[in-house]
Amino acid sequence: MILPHIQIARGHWALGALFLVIVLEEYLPRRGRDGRQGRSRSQLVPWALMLGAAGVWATTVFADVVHDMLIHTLWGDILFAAGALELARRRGVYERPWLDLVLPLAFLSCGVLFIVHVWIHQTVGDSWHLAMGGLLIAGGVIELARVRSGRALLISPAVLPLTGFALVLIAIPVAAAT
Amino acid sequence: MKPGVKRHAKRQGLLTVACALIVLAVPASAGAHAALVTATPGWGTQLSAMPHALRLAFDEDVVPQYARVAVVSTSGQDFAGSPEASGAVVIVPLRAGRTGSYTVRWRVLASSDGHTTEGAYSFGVGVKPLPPAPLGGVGVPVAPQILAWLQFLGVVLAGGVLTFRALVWAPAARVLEEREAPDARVAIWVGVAGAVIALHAGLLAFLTGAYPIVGGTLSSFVDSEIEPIRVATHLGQAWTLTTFAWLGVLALLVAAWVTPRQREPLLAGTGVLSLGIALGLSWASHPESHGNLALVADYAHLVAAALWVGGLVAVAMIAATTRSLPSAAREAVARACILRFSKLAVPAVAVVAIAGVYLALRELPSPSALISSSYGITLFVKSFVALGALALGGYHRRFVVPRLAAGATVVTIRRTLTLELGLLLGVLALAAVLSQTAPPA
Repeated sequence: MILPHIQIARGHWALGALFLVIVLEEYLPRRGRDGRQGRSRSQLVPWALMLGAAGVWATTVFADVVHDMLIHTLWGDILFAAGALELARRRGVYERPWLDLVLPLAFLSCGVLFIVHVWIHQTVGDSWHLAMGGLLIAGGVIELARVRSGRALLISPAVLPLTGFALVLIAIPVAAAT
Repeated sequence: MKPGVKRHAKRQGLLTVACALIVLAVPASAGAHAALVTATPGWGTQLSAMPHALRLAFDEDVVPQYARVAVVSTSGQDFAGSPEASGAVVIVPLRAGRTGSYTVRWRVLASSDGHTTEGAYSFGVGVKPLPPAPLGGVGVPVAPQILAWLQFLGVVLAGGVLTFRALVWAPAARVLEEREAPDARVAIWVGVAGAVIALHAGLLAFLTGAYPIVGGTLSSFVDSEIEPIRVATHLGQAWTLTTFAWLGVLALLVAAWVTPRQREPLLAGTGVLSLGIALGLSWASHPESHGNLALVADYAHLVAAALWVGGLVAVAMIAATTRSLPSAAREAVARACILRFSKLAVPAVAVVAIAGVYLALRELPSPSALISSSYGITLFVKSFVALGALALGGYHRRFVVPRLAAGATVVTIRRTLTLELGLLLGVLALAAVLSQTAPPA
């Protein structure tokens, strides 16, 4: 009735790798043509977010348990909305100052959903889920604070927890499956 | 290779990797609970005779005292004996049963984390199994009707409005000689609202439809395994397809938002796709025994109604978004819209009426059922309200359109158009109630 662990592991591993691509692309230092540091205009991040949303929504459809469906629906919504807003900003069709908050808020809300997921459905893997939620929340909060302060850093400190989240997302299902 | 080109190539490579990863991600699912791994007989199987026992194997050990299994025939008789659990396996002796479809409802408590999971599926003896049967008296009151109405509303907003724009507004807007239609951004947001409403209402409608099949309490339903219901029922099959289609609609709307040059064709395509999704709504509430003609009639009824209602919503939207134009231009485009809409509305209303009468004749066994059954009474009230909207439409067609063609101002039609729209939204609500009501036998 349920998918084998190897498929579950493969799906989560893929989403973790996709998230790692987003973090590295978005937060590794870059300089514009004028030599000054600038925000990425690459469309890789929004497309990756929307592809991630499609994958998460597919998980909603093929999930076998109701609470998994509900949580993945909200994750899919957040990723899709963040991807659409980022795509519009990077293509120059929609520019607003608050768009700088979209990615950190998406990380923060996805992290909160991890905690909610654990609260709804307690399992033996709770500590790992809590850690993953905590890493996402930490990344979102750090990046929110940096954006609000207006400080331009070479590398955002949010890279650490966000990369940690991606690596855990890759490692845990693989370890569980093997 | 130039640095810019190299960086571009690198990003293209990363994008390709991302695409490959997401393809791998698609068949994923979340787990980590006492889930059913195998069942014998399995769901959807057709046996020649009733087996002596049912075997359920889980991926975690279960507590024997709390294992509950029912194997219920279509008449409601339970054929299951006392379940015996050992480790992760539950075996249930079965009494001899006749040819027919049987619904299995199981509920177990995992010994490792103390969590309850449950689920339902069906198998057949001598016949093809029916979808798992719902339990009487279990359900969420009013929710199915509201969710059906929201799904209709989504089809109206994304399908009716955007298709109307393609058929009526785009040609009429040429009188403005502007590069972009003034309502294009509003139209995108109306489409997004429709798709988001329908997408989420569809999920909740599937869950509220699955809940009576599994039974139990709402809190325990959160832990239910409902994949067999998704695969075996029209409701689940339609939900699977319409979910991906609505995501496609949202993707098209985002594309229309970020590529202004392709906006109009993308919005037109979105409208047509959204109207196509309406087939899923018809399929979900359509028993297989009714045949394909009834399905086509139901779909045509829904699409034509969506065009009619969506057209009125679009007229209101266009009136609001052209306020900033000079009055002469505003008047010209509104007049052109209404005159074109009038031509489109006539065949749409005809299809609504013909398909509606056919479906009514099919569902009602006798004229007296119109006032003696809840289905008939709802249909009667719906027809009455629809006739009111039709009378207003006829008034517009017979008296207002000739005046507009002769040069009268559009403002004279505003009140009656608003009233017609209000009546039609009421008709949609009654149609939603009707879609969740069983026809008289």
